Amino acid sequence: MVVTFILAIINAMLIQNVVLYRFYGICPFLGVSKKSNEALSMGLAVIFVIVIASAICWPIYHYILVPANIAFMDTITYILVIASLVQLIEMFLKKYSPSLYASLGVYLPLITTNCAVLGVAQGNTDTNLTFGMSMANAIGTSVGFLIIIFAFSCIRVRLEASNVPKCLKGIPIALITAALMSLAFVGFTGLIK
Amino acid sequence: MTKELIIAIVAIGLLIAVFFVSYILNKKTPIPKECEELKIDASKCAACQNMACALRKKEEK
Repeated sequence: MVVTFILAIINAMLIQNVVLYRFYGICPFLGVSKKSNEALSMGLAVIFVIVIASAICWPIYHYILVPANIAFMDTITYILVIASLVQLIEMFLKKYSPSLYASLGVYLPLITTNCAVLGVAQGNTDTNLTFGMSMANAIGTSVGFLIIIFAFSCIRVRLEASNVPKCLKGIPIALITAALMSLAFVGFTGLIK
Repeated sequence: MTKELIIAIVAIGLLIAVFFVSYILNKKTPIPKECEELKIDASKCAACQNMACALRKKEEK
């Protein structure tokens, strides 16, 4: 059981990476990856929201929406949960951790529109995962997001100091880098049999 | 109307209420003094599609 849980986390984190394999969360991946510390803060906030949102959305779907035959309402319900969660986190940080709010403040509203958060909650219920596997998927996916956004930000910091052709500066070279990273991650395919 | 459907409608209603309450409370919570002048990078706002974001509105002004 524990082995399956760990393998599910590794699978979501590396093999089916949320950004490079499933292409979720591209907006913050490109928008908040210019500085490493900002990317790290964004990644940590996304971990928190994805894990809590998945823990709330799974019981709502299985114990409320499915018995009432209104499973088609899942997306709206998840959006409500995620939006409320982000509001509560923002409020909590404003009140109790101004320093963390200062570093995350600008990126907190971005989490609401991060499709990785909704994608994980939706994927957990669409594939009929158990609660434990849903949590493994949520943890793996969000940690995978953190790893990729942080690695990408480190690469972009080095690219800023590199002699990149003028026509490729900025987003074009970032997209080429992301494509190469995606190809590199194909190497993890077959890691788990 | 079945019992399950009534429970689901009440639950979704509660979620909507939770969202509005959290939104209002968040608006009323004062921003810490050191965070009042958070610098906003316009390129980051361009990458986000959240049109209701207060920071985006501030940037547009």
